[in-house]
Amino acid sequence: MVHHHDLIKQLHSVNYILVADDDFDDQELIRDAFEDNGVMEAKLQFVSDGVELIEKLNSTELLPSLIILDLNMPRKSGKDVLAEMRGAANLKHIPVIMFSTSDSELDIKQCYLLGANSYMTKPSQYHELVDSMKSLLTFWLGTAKLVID
Amino acid sequence: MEKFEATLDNCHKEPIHIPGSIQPHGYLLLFDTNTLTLRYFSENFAALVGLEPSALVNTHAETIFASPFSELLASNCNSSDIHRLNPMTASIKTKDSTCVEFSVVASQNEAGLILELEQNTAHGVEINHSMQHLMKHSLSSMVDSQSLQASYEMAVEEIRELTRFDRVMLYKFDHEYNGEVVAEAKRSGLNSFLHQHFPESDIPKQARALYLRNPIRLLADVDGENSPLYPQDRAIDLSACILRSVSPIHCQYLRNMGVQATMSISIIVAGKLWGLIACHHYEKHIVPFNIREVAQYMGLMLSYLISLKTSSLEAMAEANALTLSSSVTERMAKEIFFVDGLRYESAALQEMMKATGVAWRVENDLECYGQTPAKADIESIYRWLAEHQLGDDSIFYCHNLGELNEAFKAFAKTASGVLLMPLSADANHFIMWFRKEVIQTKNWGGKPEKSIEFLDDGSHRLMPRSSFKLWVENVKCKSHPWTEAEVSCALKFRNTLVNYVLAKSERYKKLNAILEQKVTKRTEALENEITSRRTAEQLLTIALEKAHESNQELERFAFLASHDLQEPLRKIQMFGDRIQCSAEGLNDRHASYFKRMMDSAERMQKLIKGLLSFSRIDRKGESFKSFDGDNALAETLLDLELVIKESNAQVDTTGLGDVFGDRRQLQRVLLNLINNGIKFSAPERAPRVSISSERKANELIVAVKDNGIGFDPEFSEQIFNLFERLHGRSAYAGTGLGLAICKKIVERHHGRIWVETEVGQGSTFYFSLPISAQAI
Repeated sequence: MVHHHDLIKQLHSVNYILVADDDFDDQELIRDAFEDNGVMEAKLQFVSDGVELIEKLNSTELLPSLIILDLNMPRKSGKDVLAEMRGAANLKHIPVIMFSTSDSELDIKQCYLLGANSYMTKPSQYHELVDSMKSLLTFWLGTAKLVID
Repeated sequence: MEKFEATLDNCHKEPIHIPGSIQPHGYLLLFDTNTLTLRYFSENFAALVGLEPSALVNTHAETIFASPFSELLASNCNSSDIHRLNPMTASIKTKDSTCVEFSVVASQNEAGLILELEQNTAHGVEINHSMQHLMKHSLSSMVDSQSLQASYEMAVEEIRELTRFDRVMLYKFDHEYNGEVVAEAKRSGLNSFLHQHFPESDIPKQARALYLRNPIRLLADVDGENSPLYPQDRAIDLSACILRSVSPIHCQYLRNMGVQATMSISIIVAGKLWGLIACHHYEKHIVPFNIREVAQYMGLMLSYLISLKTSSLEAMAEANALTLSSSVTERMAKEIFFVDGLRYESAALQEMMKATGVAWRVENDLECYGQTPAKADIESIYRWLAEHQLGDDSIFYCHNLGELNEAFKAFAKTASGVLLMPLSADANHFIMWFRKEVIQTKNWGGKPEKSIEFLDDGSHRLMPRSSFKLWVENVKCKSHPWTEAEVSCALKFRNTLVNYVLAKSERYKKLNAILEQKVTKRTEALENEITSRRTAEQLLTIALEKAHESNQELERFAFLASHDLQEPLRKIQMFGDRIQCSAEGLNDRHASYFKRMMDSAERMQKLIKGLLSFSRIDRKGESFKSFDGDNALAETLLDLELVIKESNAQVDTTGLGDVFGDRRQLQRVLLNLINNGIKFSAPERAPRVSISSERKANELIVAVKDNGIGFDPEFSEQIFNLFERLHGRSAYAGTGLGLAICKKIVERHHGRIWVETEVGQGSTFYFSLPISAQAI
């Protein structure tokens, strides 16, 4: 069990969390859910499609500590982004959490094969979303050590 | 666009009308009909004019073609009969600035105006001058031929002379679309294909459909590298295009025969594909448009000739049969013992029915003439047919006796076809005609195997040799089928027999009184049937196709609708939940409204999810396999563990054994049925659900029995409908989709689902499943 103040402490070592989602409602809900978990807005950044995401990653020294990636986005889909990241030496270590409405087994399987670290179906209750974000923070920014060859 | 990979197993499904590429000896351009800008083209055209394909898209026709062709195009592009101008001539400036002249053939489809450009290469025939003469000469010699066979031979000779193919064959289909070469003209030195047989699969169903739609097709070079269409963003229907590329399977088939170029012309009689004129060349071979037109006219003329002569031949055969029939009855009337007349005329009796053998029992003994099985075997065929097939009927006939009863395959040589006509209702008197197996009746010119001398590299590919084997497989243990005219002739013969000959015998009279009525009725009915069945069959095919299409349409709609509905609904729930979480701003009444709103949203979400999975049953199902049913059931019960515990239910099973089907879907059926059994429990007793199974001949029947509230059996069909509920939502939760899903899954397995129930006494749901793929 990670206490709230421990979590906040951990966040100091976190660069920022990058959320890619073309749906602005979902962006707002995710922002609120993180805030309810004590993550300040400054630690969050948003892009709304895959092309924007890759551009952002290529144009900055400061890489995100975690990426939350929607599956269906215009211009470049989540799967394409994932494949591209896992092929790039400087990006392949960043944990990527897929976040999609699709609960199709094929999608889920493909994402894991492409190198996703976790797959979450977008919940239909806000409090579920808050819980999901909390578990992301505690696991992927806390205890987990990413091993990618 | 998804690419279809053709293999031997799926070649009957290959979408050959949208190959996405054309043969390399010409060029294809597709213009927008309204703007005359270039939308699609074969990539070799870009190479011809020396431009990048991407630079060519949306070029205007004026830029591509010089005057006067561009004007001709502009003034006719909207006309639906632009094909009347074919062939047109146009010149194109190529990349090295020379002008090349092309013959242009225009056609239209839903994508736009298609132009096919072919270079006017020398063909050896002075096209324009000889055309009139050739057509007149060829057609009159075909029409003037004495017999149909002579017309066939004349047609292939004339077409070979016209088109200069090495070999031209007339290929005729039988009633099951196996083919036979009935006429052939060839370059000297080639071995003959005359009278060779090919199985139905050599020209699969969708190829035959294409031949019906588009009566001519040409493959100029089997090894030519096809030129793909650009851009490849949609499937363009090329069925009207002579340049369209040919299925790789078909190319392989031709290569195996050493053929380099082919052309085929359909022979269509009474709306059906009667056969093909198939032309082969052993080098690449281009046939210009004008020549193709004439060849096509000749094919059309041959179709008319065949249709005319076939119907007159049929009428003649019928008249001939009636003559034979009366000569038999006359002879019988003359003899003191009528059976002597029958013996005397046994050959006519066989010929009348085009049979190869006949047997009868009109007194005590069985007598046989021609080629028949042994007497004891005829007895056993008669007894079996009388018991299993004849029933209340006055006649029985089939052309594949061995398929009805495996034991009769032993007599396939002489008795693949049987027509049994009882003469009296209860005295076991009958006449039985036999027809030989088709293979036995074929003239092979002595050595069928040896006359087919082609390479066989031992790999599993279509080969003329294996084609022959396949054909043999298709017609094994089958005779030529009995035509409706022949059956009707047999019934008429029987009436005459009874009226004029057997009338002498009082005993027969009595025996026949009942049967005679039946026979008269049957004869009339049969004749009506002959006329009405064809219409009915056509209507049925159309109706089935429509039903299938609308069903698929509905499923697609349900999938898309429910998929797209999920997204906005999720938002409603999310933001609603946020307001509820911060409930301090709401008074009690509003909070209650809110809760009701959210409950409705949740219910709607369940409905959408249910609808989505309902629509996925056919679309996303897995293939059928054999699996351990008890294992699957145990897993399902584990999923229900919580429900079972909470309701204090008792679930027991006597075992399912091996089950054949889609494991996951069948688990879903079990889950829904068991869950229902628990859910609709009677308040005064703890729910109890028992699952049992029973194996019948070809099916497994699973029963799920509960001790719940049951329902009025009047509703036992209705409850399987979509959104059907017998109880209020408040009393029992649920979407009204569970049983509809069960029904759909079971039907996908070719099984049935039904229920036995009584109010207050619990219900038992049953479903049946085939035990193996063979049982479907």
